[in-house]
Amino acid sequence: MAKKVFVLVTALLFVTLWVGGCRKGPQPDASRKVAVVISTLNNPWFVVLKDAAKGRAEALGYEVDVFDSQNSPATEAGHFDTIIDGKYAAILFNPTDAEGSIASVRRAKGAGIPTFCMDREISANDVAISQILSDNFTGCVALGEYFVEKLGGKGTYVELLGLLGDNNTRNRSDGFHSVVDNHPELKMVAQQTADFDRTKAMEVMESILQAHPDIDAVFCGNDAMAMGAYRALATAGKDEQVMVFGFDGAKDVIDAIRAGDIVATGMQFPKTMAQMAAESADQYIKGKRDFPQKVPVAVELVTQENIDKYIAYGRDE
Amino acid sequence: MKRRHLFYIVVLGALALLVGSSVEFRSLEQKRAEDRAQRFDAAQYARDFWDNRLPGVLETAQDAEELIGLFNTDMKAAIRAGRTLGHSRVHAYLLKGEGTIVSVDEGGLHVSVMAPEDCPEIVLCTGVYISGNAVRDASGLVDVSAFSDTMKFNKISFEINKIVVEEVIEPFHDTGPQVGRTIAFVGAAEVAEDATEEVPFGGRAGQAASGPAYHLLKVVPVRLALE
Repeated sequence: MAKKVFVLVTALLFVTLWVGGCRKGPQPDASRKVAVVISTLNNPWFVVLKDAAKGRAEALGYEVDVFDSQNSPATEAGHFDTIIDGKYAAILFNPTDAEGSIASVRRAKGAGIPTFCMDREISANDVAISQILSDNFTGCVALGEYFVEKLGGKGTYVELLGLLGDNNTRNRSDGFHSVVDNHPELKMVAQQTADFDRTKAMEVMESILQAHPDIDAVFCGNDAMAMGAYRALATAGKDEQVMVFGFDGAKDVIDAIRAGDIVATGMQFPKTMAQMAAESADQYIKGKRDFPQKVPVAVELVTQENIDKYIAYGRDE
Repeated sequence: MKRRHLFYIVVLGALALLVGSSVEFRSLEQKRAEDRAQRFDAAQYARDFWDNRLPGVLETAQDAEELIGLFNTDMKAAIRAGRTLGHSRVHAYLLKGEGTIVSVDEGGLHVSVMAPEDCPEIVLCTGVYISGNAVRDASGLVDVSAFSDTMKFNKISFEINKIVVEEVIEPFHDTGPQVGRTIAFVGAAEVAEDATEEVPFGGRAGQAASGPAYHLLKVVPVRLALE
């Protein structure tokens, strides 16, 4: 009997402590550690984003740890577990999935750790403190207008899409089509995802060329895919015949535009976005609380005509 | 036996209380209704914007002639007079004016609002489609942070532009615009900071097949009236 009472009391005590522990509020912040969580470091553009975020946070006096999510929401969630356990002061976050990443940010918020999104958004406006995003739609409207101009309003083309779980993929494609679809003599003969990956884009392009050997242009949702597509076209001896358009402002495409190989890209500003995120985190830690939830950062059209104004990942200022 | 059963009942009850308080049960229909309510209707939003909210800010439109003067001579002042979405070198303006139609092409009406009357500074976009965010951003009425994702925000521009084409541009074509006539307008423009670095608005920008080509400020019309 005494043993049973003891077990009962212990079980109830355990339950009480567990429930009480789950409801604890945000912990006091004494950390000078900032976490930089990047969707993938397998793409030079994101390496620039990471370096700029890390550099600015360190310049502001924080110790920085970098977490590579390898394009995996599961890996990303694991990083957030580590960050929450490690009591970081803030998270500079480049999400893998606009929907799937919300839960991780919510958990961080519950643990009292503010999150600042960079480049990509999460589809919620009540969990991150601020989201500094590329205005991909508007950037691709400009790209689409230039695309129409260069093709003279007619021809056949291919579109290579990025990761389907990334809102940027949809924003870029929608912006492009909001212009191009008004020109009935411009026909899209194929549209496939290559996951923002250069190698995959090359493979997809090779496959598409077998079915559609006489296209006039290809629009790629990022520069890595543009380079992959260009490589496939060059191998097929069609690089002179087919115009390639990218999006990002990556070094190899900027060089390729300068060389006349690629027609245009949309310049995003990863260094600007990363620095803004780091500075916002610093301001938050120091007490500021009123931040705009979404801050679009304009994307600029880079062509062979204005290439002298630009360098890799930014303007030549 | 009875006491052991009672013991198990109490423990199970405590566990059930714990589990039950951490789980919420709702009917599937209730969940579907909540999802439907959250679904964003960009066309409806644009309709409400156009009918009920935009008219109230049109009176704040700046004089086109004065604005062009600023763009051409003092871009810093012009930037201060515009609206900026986030971090950008492009700024949006509501503007109004009256001018002479100098020429017409598939892009729109080339209009002169300043002397000399035969030299246009503006193109009122009256083509088959409108792109960009001029009306949305120049109005100052749409807050990007109010939307859970930017796809909704972008769709608003798309739907507003459709209204412009269907309700401003297409009916206007029936009035038979002619070169030499006077036109009054209210519209929206997006202007980059380096727009007049090389050539001012109204300045010569080369030669077209039909005559001299001018560097023109693109204006998306919200109101058009031939006089």
